[in-house]
Amino acid sequence: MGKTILIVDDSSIMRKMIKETLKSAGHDVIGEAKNGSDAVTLYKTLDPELVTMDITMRGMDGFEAARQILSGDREACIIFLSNLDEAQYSQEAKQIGAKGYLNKHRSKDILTLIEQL
Amino acid sequence: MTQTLDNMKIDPKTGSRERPGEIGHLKHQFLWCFLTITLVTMGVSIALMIELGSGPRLTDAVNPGNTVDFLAALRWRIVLGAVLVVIASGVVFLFLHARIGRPMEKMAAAAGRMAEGCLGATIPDHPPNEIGQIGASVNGLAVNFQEVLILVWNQTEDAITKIRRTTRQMTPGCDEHVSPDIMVDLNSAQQDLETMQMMVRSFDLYDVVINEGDVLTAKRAADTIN
Repeated sequence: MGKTILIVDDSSIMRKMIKETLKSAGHDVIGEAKNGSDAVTLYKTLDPELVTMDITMRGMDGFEAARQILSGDREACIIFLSNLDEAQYSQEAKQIGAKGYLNKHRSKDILTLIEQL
Repeated sequence: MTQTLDNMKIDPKTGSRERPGEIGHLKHQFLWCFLTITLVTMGVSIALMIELGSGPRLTDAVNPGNTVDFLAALRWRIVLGAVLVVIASGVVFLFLHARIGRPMEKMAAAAGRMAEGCLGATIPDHPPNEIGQIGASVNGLAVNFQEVLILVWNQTEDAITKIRRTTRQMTPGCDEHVSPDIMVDLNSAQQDLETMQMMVRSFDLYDVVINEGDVLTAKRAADTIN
């Protein structure tokens, strides 16, 4: 069964790509945010089952947004999707409490990761 | 329907974003400016026409005893009217400069830096009219462009790693069946990929640095160097 998902990314092209990938697997993208502060507000409003989170964004970055979301909802399911080097940042994502870290150029792997959750 | 915080409608087919009722702000602002100057000019003209009056007052003015006073009063009215029109034009100029001129100057400066490859430059996305929308759209274009550049970097980095690994395995002496043409093609492909990476490196990216092949945030890269 598909999950309700909030996509957080400052790039509209990336949001579109991720959205198409998720929709192809039957997931329901219920919200899109282009920075961290929008993500925190939309998370409270929409209460999605999963959040895909970019890291580098103008304004509040993805790590800070994830911290704020998780401080309000310890069960929040966040997967980081970033262009940054996985070896350098996946550990930090794990420490924050994210369920996973994927490089954007392998964004289709997110479907496998969602199935495993 | 997907929701965004800025209440934009997203076309499910094209993905294009539109904020209802926002288009036309600039047109309204121009209309208000035109109406302000028109009303002030018309008001001054009507006041002068009333001052001139109709037949009897003009007949009085022609009377040699009244002409000087009448013309003096009329002259002051004309000067006052001209001052009012100049003040109204000045207010309209300041308004247009604040709403259009200054944002356009900032936009031109930032767009110039972007055109030179500085994708960290940000165009102000205000005032809330079409000028601000252009700023927000150009910022969005820069963000998307950076995304594509980093994707190109990551893909080429992966491909170069694979080519190097393959080349090592096919070194003459290790595998005698390898055609020299394959090695030439692999070297050529690697050079093409490296040229693409050189192009990516020529851009200044927003909050991201390419450090020894890895894509890092600027802060992390600075910490690594220190």
